[in-house]
Amino acid sequence: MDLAFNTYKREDWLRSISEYSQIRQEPANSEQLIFRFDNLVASELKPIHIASLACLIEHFSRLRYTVCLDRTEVGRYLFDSLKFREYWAGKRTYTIANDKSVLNLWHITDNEKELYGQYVKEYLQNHFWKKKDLTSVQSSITEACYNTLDHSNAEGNAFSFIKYDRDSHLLGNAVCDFGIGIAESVKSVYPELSDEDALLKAIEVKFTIKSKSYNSGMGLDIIKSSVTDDKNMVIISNRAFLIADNQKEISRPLEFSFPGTLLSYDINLSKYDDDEERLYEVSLF
Amino acid sequence: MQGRTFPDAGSALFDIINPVLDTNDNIILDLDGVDILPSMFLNPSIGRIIKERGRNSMSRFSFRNITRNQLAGLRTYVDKICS
Repeated sequence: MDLAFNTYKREDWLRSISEYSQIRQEPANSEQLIFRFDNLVASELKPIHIASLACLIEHFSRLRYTVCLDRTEVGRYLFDSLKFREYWAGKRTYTIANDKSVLNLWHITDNEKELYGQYVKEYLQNHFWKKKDLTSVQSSITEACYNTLDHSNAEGNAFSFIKYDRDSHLLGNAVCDFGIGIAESVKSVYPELSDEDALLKAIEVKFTIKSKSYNSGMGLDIIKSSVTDDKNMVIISNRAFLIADNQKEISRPLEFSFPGTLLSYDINLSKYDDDEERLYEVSLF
Repeated sequence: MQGRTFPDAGSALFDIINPVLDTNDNIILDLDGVDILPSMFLNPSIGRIIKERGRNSMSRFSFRNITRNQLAGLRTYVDKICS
């Protein structure tokens, strides 16, 4: 069976991901699925494309399909540069890409949830921004990983993908899981809410469904605060999407149901100050 | 706190500082070697102190070897958790 992707447009791509995730739920016996990317070029792929695609492949891998990539430029990029095979055939949670501007897929697992943000920060400092204080980048990634693991019930089907554009200094991150979805998760507490309103509720400061005792509804706000001073943060979940900037949040219905949650944002790394000396001793107020 | 997850480290910090707040001593937290202060660390430590003892309890804290970025984040966190 062929699964064709022929557009970069976010909503259409995610609609395809959603539709393909529904095609067959019962386990297959190594039936072959060929992912096709005719008329697409790898340089146009954003983190949302790669992270959501990884979740779809993981989904089919668990159903015991044999997943193949076509030999188009995108198929070869995923296989050769991003080394997709090593994740599913080799059970790796991370491999170094053959492209310095991508930090490649990170399979979000409980054991490594605190390492990813630290790794990304050190990678960026080693390759691009030796003197920058990039702890905000580390914080947002760590919060996103915990958020996924604490609330999604994705049973390990969760990936992040990060790409850095040297010219614009933009770091793009997408975190995707095929779990219950933020909207459904919020509706477990407020069943009367629509998915759009559930996403708005999720992003309220101090709102939490208390999946873990240490949750207090600050995580999404910390991510939003650290990424939206000049760019947007986007959450796509179930039948709604939300766009947040530093002034407001807007949510809208989706025409399809995304099977989990996709969080994406860009950060302009040039805005951060250089690493500075620590203050000897200060009080909070 | 090394070798602990952020939530465990936060809980351990709470267990250390909470009894001190019953005395007349002030508390100095040294952040040397600390990169980030994520919510899952702050919630079971500073956040729990504020919930149980109020915002004024923070006046007994000072922070050593803290970056301006960490200080700003910590102030924002306390403001929001108290809102």
